[in-house]
Amino acid sequence: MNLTASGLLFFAFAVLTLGAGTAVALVREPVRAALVGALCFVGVGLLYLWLGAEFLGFIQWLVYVGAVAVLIVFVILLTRREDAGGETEGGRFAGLRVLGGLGVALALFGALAAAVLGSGSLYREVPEEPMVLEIAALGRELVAGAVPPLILVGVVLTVALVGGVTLALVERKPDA
Amino acid sequence: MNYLELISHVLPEIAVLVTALVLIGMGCAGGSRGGGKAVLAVTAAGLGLALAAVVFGPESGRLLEGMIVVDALTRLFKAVLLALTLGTALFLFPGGEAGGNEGRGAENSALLLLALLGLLVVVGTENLLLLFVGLELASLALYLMVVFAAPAGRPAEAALRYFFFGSVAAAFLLFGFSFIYGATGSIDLRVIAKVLAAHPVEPILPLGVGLALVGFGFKVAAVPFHLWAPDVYQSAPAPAAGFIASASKVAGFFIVAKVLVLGFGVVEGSADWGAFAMGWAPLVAVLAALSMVVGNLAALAQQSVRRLLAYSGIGHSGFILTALVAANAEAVRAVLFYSVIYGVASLAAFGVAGCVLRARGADRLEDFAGLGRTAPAAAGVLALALLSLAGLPPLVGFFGKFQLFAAALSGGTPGTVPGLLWLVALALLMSAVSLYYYLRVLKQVFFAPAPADAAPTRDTSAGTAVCLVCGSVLVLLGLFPSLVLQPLQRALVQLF
Amino acid sequence: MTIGIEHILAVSGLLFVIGFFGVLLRRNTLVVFMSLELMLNAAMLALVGFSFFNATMEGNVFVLFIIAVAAAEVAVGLAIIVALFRRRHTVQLEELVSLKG
Repeated sequence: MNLTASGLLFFAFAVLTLGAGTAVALVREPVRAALVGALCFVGVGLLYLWLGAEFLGFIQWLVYVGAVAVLIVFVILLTRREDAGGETEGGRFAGLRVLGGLGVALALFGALAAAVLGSGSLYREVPEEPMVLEIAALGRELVAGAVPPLILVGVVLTVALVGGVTLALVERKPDA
Repeated sequence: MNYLELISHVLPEIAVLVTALVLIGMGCAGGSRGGGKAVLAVTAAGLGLALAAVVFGPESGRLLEGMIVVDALTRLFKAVLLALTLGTALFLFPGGEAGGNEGRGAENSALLLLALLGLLVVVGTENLLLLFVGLELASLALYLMVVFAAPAGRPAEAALRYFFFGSVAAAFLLFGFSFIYGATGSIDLRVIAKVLAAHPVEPILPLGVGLALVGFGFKVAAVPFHLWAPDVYQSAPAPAAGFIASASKVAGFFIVAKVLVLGFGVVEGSADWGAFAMGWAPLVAVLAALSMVVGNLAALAQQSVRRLLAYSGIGHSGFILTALVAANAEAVRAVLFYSVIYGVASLAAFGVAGCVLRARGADRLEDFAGLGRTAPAAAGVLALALLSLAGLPPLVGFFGKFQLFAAALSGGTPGTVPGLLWLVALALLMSAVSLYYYLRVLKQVFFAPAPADAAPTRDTSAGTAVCLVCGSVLVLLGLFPSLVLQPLQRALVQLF
Repeated sequence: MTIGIEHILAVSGLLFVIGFFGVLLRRNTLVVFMSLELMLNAAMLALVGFSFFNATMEGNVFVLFIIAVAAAEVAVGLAIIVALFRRRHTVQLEELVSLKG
């Protein structure tokens, strides 16, 4: 097997991403799960960089690592109870549930793998000139072709804002 | 590109958005008092304006490579969604007392309109990106409407369940979209259809469509993606539940039919008995069969009328998907027609259930006892709605179901036994089962004596108006189905 | 050996399945939430990969919008969880939601 430097880099990023992702699903302590989750987001951002989407990589770090993961850690700390350490186990059927979940997950991945390996025309060479996402082109797309979704995303964020604020107002009233 | 042209094609959406923003402003200005009448007036005016913009707006157009599509079909469905939302608002926000959530009427109305905006965008696009953002807008607004309800605890649980199921479904939808994009190189449904017609289909495309089906299955509450529905229907505030059961479901079926038949007609496969071929048709057939059986049988055991309606809605998803399996023009027409009348009937049923809930504080079957005497208008429209859902002639539900099953049987080679006979036979059986639980409700309404101690449910003026409109729509369309069928037919001719 | 689209899809598919496994199995709503984000990230990774190998920009634009929508979704989701916690003083899924259908 003859790996180029870029190939090695890819495998390093992939191992980081998947390792951290597996840890999220398995680590008992919620705070640790959230922290390895952040690591996984970092790995996905590195893969974006590897794929030439530099802008997206930086946005990924800003939004996912900087905002989403931090927010989740914050909420975990906010909602932590003194009496409960980790998370409660799912009772008698815990082992059965793990097996069931594993079965569903493996079946899903099997279907994915079979479909991807069966699709012959996917095996294209890496493009001669790898497409590097130019920020200028992205900007032009945003004010021309992608205006409707851009505005709609603004509305989505408004909904989140209004929802959060109103929820806080409703909650401030004493429970009836 | 011309922004003015763009604006002229999305005037209904703009009207809805501006109204929602005005309502948010009113909510901020009014503090916690919130004038209920004013909120209702602004909501109704905004929806009326949007409806006018649909009717008098441009008749056709396709902007930004299919991001904004205006044609007879999208205009028809935008009008239907606006009318259903108007009905929801009038029926379920009577005089400003919005369930146990006093004073938040303005924000609730704003969220209702923003959810509607999401659905309008979804209906009026052939672009997967805009489709996704529109669906997410509608979902987020609905999660919040569900959680805003009374602080009794249950609604927030329903919201959490709704949120997790919805988010997982969105992830599947997105994963599916990414495979569709990978296989065809485009996110425009028209281009995708063209690429598919010209090139051999790779296995990752059906995989992508299958994954996307999980997301759509959630939206229309098909089994096994239905687990959120009973809780949400039961514990959501009445306007949110009515909206989820009517407008949201109509948009869901519209988009399923459009995406599957228009974009992916090539990878249909076959669900015919003895001639299964892989594609989306067998998957949809399985969803349809499961939904019919689980929805209708579970409805038999329900004591809460809203839970009963939720399961009956799941069953109806099964009936509608049955026709979709045939995937021809006739089937699409039947699916769209039935989804509209299902929306009207379920709005009426949820409206009446909401009225009873307000008066009695619960919606068990016993709480409907004597409704026929104390609130004849509500009881009458409930009877019309349920009998229409059950498919009894001369109501429109009978005609709609007939169309669905005829369309399902129309596929395949003429002269032989229709391949989908197994599915239609199952549908007929389940339809008979459904009659039993609808009659159980009506027996309480008309024949059980009203309990002496409880406060009787009375008709309200706005509620009665909506009742009359819904009831007359159900009867009128039953007698003259061509009133909707013909415009639908004309609109579909442009597409096929 | 060159890295092709199938390698990207392997990483993306594994990440999606890991996230789904976490959603199915974990009992703490916040960890379920994190797993959900893994699933979304997997879908986005596939889009960026296809965008690179198809040499078209649509996938990248798509991902930009998903990140924005996901941020809004996180805000709403966490708001719901915090609201529930204030009422029930727990974030364990089975104490919050009875799983009967």
